[in-house]
Amino acid sequence: MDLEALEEAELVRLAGPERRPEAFEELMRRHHGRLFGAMARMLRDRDQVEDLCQEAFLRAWRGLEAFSGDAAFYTWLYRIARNLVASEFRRERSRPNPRLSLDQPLDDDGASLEVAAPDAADPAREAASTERRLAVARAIRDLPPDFREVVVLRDLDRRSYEEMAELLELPVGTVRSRLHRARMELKSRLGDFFDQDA
Amino acid sequence: MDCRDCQDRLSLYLDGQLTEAERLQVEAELDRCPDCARAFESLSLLVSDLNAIGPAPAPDGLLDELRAAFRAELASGRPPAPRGRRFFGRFRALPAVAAALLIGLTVFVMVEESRLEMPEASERALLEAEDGDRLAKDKEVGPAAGGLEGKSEEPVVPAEAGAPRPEAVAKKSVAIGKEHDDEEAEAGEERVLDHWGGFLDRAGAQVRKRGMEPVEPRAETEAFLDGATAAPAAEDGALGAPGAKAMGADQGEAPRLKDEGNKTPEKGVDEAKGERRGAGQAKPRSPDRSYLLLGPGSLAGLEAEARRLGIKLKVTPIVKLDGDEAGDDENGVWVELELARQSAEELIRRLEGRAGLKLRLYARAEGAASRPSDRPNSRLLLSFILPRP
Repeated sequence: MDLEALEEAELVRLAGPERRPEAFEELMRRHHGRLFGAMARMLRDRDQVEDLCQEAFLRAWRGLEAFSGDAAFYTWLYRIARNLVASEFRRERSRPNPRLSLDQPLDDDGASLEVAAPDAADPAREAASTERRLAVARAIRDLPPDFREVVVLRDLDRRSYEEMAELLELPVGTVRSRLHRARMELKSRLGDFFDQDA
Repeated sequence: MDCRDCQDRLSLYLDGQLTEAERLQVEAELDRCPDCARAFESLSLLVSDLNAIGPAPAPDGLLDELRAAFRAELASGRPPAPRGRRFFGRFRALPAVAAALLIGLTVFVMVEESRLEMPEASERALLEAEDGDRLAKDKEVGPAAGGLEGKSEEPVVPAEAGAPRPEAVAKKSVAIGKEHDDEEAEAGEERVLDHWGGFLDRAGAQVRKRGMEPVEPRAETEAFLDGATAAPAAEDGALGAPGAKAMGADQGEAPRLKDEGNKTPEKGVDEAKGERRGAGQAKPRSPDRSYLLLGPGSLAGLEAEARRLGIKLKVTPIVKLDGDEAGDDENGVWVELELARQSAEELIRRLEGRAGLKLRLYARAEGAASRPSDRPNSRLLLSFILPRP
């Protein structure tokens, strides 16, 4: 069976009710990069993101039999990952001396940032753009978690408002207002860069 | 529509989320008001940057790891341990143990950087280093440094013959044996001790023997580097790096190097076998090279990290570390790694993250100190001293 050619709903059926591991591995192949890509922009520790992805997929496999199929597989997977993040937040906050704070402002040396190089035709402009983008990438992870998530989903992962509403289980109106506030907050934190450039 | 109304709608306007009537109102205001127009321009630039940043790329090996974990669960019928906690994750909770590893599993990173504007110089530097003819050139060019992250602009004190700066010596203590009340840390320490067998005990004994004061490892690492960068090479044939000094060169325990250039892996290992403490035949290291103390780490771990990042490492074992109280099995291998600066930066950052240490690379530029970010494609020659895998 050519799993790569199958529709996602069919893969979910094979992996869920029929418990076919190869179908689930195909789902992993399709979605792992997307999940990692979004989570890695939100969390400060890449190892933690990889752990998170692993755990989210394993939980998805365990729960896939009961998955109703109302939402897309990725939406469901993303929600599992979100819940794991939320649990980790709670756990970290409850520790007297948190050893790994998910929402702790990132220090420069710990930044996990890969930012695509801008146009190399103008080196000076390129350097300025790179510096600014690095600052932006750092600032994203300094945002409050709710703001961080909408910025990542909308502006980095290019989700539509409707998709975001589904992923976040929020009304679209809430997503709109939250995204607006998140962008304003981000711009405010990066004032020097954007006042100057504007 | 006033300015506030307009600016409150800019985000939705940018995303095409306004009704036609609202859109026209916003556009009219943008035409009329320079402040609103500026606000829109800066928001557009921000969103453009965010779009350009995009999602983080998944590491190459991630899918394989996920599959392996999945298959392990299928095979065992029970969940595997979280991936990162099987090994490195243990160290996150253990600053004191990480510090112990800092001394025990020491990695020196020698960074040598050429300016982007002079790629041929960069090439030349690498070749010269390989030819073992670096020293003379180093003496011609004044040392300069910049933090690899671009935020440190601390000048490097020109190397002078003689002892390291007093403050460099004073800062060379390495944390170990710091008492932790945190039960979790203690439990974690036990796990690490289990994992590393008696090696930590020996490493810790060495630290205590040297009368080093327990300090916070993050601060200490940086302090160590400050000293390491500024202090001169020893002239007695020891490694010559202040880092080596801090590791006990004054007690004759520094790794020695007969001929730092033109090494092949085989030759380096062979030479290492002939090198013992106090041999006194090694050629001194360039005085203005910079060293970084890094730990914990292992060659296998380093290589795995590099693979995950898609970084190709050229690893050249040069010399086995000199013997000490620890058995030969625990001695390290000094390797040179050749990789692009950005790759080095990423690699170091990853290792930092895993070790829970704050590290700073000092780069030597040929010419005036300048921000490393000005030279994004500079190449580095890194030397790590690593425990043998």
